[in-house]
Amino acid sequence: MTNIRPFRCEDLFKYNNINLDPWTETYGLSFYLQYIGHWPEYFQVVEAPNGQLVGYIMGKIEGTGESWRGHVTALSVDHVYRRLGIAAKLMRGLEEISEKKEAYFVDLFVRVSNKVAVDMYTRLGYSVYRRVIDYYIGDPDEDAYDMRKALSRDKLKKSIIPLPHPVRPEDLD
Amino acid sequence: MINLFNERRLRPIYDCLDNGNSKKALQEADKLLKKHKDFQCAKVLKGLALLRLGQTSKAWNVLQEVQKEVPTDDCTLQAMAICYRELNRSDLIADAYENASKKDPTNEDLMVALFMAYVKIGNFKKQQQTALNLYKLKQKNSYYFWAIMSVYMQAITNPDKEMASKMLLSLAQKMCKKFIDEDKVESEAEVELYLMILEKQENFEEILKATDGPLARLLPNYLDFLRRRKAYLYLKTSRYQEAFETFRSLIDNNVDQLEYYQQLYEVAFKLEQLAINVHSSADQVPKNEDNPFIFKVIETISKYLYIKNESSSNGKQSSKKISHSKYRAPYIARIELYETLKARCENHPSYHSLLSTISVDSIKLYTQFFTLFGHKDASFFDFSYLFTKFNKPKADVCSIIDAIEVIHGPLLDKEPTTLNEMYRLLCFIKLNYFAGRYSSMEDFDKQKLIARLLDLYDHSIQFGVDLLPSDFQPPDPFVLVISYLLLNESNIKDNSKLLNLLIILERSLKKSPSNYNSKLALIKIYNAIGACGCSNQWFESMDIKHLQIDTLGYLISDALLLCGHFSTACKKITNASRFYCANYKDTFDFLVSFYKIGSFTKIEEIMKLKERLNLSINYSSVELDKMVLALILVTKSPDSFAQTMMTIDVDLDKIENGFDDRLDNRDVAIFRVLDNETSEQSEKNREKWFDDQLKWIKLRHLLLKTIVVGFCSLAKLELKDLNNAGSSEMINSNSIGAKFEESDFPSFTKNLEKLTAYYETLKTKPIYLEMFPLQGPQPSRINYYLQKDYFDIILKILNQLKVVHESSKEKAVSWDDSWLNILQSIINDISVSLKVSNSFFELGKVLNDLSFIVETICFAVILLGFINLSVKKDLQESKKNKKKRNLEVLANISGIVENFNNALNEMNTCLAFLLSTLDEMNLNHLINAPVDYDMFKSKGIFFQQPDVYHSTHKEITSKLEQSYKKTASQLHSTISMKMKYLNSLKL
Ligand SMILES: CC(C)(COP(=O)(O)OP(=O)(O)OC[C@H]1O[C@@H](n2cnc3c(N)ncnc32)[C@H](O)[C@@H]1OP(=O)(O)O)[C@@H](O)C(=O)NCCC(=O)NCCS
Repeated sequence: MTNIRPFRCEDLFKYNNINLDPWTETYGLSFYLQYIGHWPEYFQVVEAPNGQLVGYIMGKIEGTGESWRGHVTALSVDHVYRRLGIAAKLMRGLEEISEKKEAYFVDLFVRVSNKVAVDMYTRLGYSVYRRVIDYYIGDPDEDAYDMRKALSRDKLKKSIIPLPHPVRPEDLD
Repeated sequence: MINLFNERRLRPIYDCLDNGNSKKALQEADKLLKKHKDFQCAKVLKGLALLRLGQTSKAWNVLQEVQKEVPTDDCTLQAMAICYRELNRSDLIADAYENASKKDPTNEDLMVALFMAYVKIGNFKKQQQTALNLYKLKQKNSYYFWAIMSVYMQAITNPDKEMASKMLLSLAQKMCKKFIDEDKVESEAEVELYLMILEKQENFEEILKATDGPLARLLPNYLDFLRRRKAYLYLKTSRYQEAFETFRSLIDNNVDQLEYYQQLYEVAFKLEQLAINVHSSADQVPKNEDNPFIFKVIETISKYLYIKNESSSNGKQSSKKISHSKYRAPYIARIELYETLKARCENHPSYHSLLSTISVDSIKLYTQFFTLFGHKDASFFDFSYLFTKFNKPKADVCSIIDAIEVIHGPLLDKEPTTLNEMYRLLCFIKLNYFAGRYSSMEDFDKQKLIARLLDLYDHSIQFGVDLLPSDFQPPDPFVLVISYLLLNESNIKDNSKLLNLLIILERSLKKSPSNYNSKLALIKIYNAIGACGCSNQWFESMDIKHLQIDTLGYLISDALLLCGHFSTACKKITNASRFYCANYKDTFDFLVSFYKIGSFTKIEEIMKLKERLNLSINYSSVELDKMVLALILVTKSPDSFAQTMMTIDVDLDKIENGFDDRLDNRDVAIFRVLDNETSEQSEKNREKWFDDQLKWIKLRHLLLKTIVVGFCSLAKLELKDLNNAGSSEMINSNSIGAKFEESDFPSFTKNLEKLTAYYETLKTKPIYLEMFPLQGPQPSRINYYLQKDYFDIILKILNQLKVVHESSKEKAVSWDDSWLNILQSIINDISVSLKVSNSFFELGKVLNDLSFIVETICFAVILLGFINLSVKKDLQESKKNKKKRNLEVLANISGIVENFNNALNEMNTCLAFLLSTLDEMNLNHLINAPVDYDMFKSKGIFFQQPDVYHSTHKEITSKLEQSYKKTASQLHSTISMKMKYLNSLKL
């Protein structure tokens, strides 16, 4: 069971069980505050029956014209609570909001090596739009897949036609 | 035009400042001012450069000069804002903008900046005025709602609740209403603010009206949250029928939201209660049809029990066999409803038949839940949640476990053949743990169980194929259970068991390098045995940063200090201190930006966040430890001590404010606890820690303050020289250097009295050393500290200082050497303990003592330096006053000198002995002791491969040795440094 509700500042004090996962980045306070302030509806958290936080999604809406899109910045679920459909549900929620805001598509970046996530997004209807070289800075740098899913406003699904060549981070729009 | 021109000329100064080259910036500014002596912005930038060069008073003069001229251009004002912020005088930013705005009253930008300046200092009333002035100037909705928000903030921060809610809130509400009536409301944010005000007024009727009326068009219903909100409003306004229907429809859209079911059945009970009250005149016994609402709840739940998951696959027709739902909410809700009905059935006979429509008994419901969800890792926590919520006696839990075994066979005896079977088995094991079946076992049986769990782990490694380093090994929870079974006092003290446990955990991390549960367990164990080099290695691997410093830093910070890893601790603490300071600034910036984007609902939240960080008890500890560590690590001589005092950026006054409002932000729930006894004890330890830590902070604060005041009053003259000599160190307005003017010896004496009295109260307090369960907080450092008389040494020297300084030297000055005896006896104790400690655990305790005595020595040397200073002054004076030369006084002074020098000599001997003790520290008997690795005799697929076992064993002992040696060498070098310091004090 998953009680979903909007993320609150105080949740930052008890999300460690989710964030100690190596795929999940812990950002500085201002990064979260920016999302909480600008796109509160895109920041949802899931609670277990005992009140523990077990997963969250953080995203935003951005772009102009036909690139008006929902974006997933972070999605993570506590190990113990995985494979219960929580991530799928959070993604569906974000898509629903983006539909209401009349976005053309939803997109996200994921490390190419993050097989579980890439597979999951694929299951949820996302496809690789392009590969971004050295998107993740680190040791070593890593490429990202820019994955997308068209929403109903993009009737011809133009937004998801894959690019033939990888791009560099500085060429992202 | 002019601006562009100016900007080009200012650029070089800005660049220098940005690059940290303040000296050059100063030169550039002077150059520019030579040509244009009235260039305001250049003046301010000069001030900023001076400020950064530590020439605070010069900077201050420049700023005051410009402030008087009342600048109105953006550049100058912004530069002034930076200066004032660095001086911690945000109030003056507001002043500057206020004046500017008066001079140029139609300048919208200026007024907006003024509003934001008030936001930064939290002057809500002025915010309100300014926003209204802005609205008069330009009829923008945002200005009007800024004003309303400012009124709201006045209301919620007003200590006078009555007046706040009555007047301020109703003012805010009326202001909103005016706009609504005039149909001027434009955005969601504005409506939300209105609702927020009504919410504070508890005017739920009005909120309902608003969410049903025309305003609702501005409120989107993302994820059904508007409807959810309404459902709760119906509850609050006692419209139970509507609430019931709304929760029911919410479930239709979100089958897995347990909250909705819980509300639904609670509302059903309410509705029926109301019905009974209506019928109560007729004394009929309610029949089944008298429970129509509960019946409907049962129906609703049943509807969702067996549905398949909506397929998340894209289009592919699922031809797999019917899989069960992974939505647990309806199942949990069913159990909850059953348990609730059962608990209430005594007073409501009609519930019996309802119960029977749900299930024959509760055991069946639980076993069914196990069958359906036992293979999900989360299911154990569902069970424990339910057992706890309904206060299930242990015996009932055991019956459920037995029933599960009847259905699934003897689970523990079979090797799982699939991943799901393995998870089911793990859930079963955890249930047993929860029921207390393992804790009551005899040692022998427990060892057998552990051996079995090890086999199961070995066996189940096969399920973790193709894993990435980031994945957890599926059978890891076996190891966690083993560690929990072993983590008790007698095992930690038994080297063989301890090492076996370490081997099991370390080995499992090799196969599953990201599993933070094992890391947490290891951190706590290594901490417990004083091997914080090892714990820190795992702590580092968890990449803990930002806010986690506040919530998880406790895992390592105390331990590093307790075992003398001072340099590592210093790095961590500096980092943490930086984090707290930066956040304080960041949250202010966000407050401003939230007003700008109209994110009103989040403003209160962010204020609370700011407060929560500011009041964090960890923040105070960090600041105090930062200062103590500077005294330990940096001060090599009286001069370097003076330097440290002048430059250290710790605001002791701030720490003193609101001692009792401190908050404990630590995340203790990060440990996955498997039974309620452990979590209760852990909670008790947490509370105890918090109480004790407050005392610790108070004691340390008082001590440091006494030292600072003592130093300032003794060293005034010398320091003035130091300062005028053009010391370029930055003196922050909060630093000690800025305060020394105010200090005199009587205030030192007052502080010393306070300190002494406070310590006396602490001495009567019982010492709390309960460190188990390890998967939770450990006792505060104060408990280890008070075990020995470290503080008496410090107090006695402080008192000696007082006596020496206050005496006119006309009579012989009494000299109390007893602190030397205490020091000697503590050192002797430690030296003996170090030799006889025959477990890692005991060794760890000795290292704690060692660290404390070294810290005490550091304080002692500094304080002896004070005595030295005081006596030196006497000597100088007596030489100056040759005429009035009094032989008696001279003799008394030389008496002090002699006593003092003798004390230094004796202390020197003590320290030399301590050094030799450290040199002789020999760990071989611990490191090389054989380990009984048949202890948990198992089949030995993975763990018990002798070579793997031995190599891991070796790895661990060498890590341990390194950590212990590091403690010794850090303490050694600290003592050596302080010995030189000590010897320089000879008179
Ligand atoms: C990726 C992640 C969010 C998935 O969370 P989750 O709640 O377990 O996912 P769901 O249960 O909703 O899974 C939805 C579908 O994704 C697929 N999936 C998810 N995890 C999987 C796994 N470990 N192996 C195979 N498939 C998996 C499945 O098809 C699953 O549907 P199913 O269970 O019906 O077969 C979670 O693994 C996680 O937090 N990872 C770390 C953080 C991360 O990588 N985030 C993404 C960065 S952009």
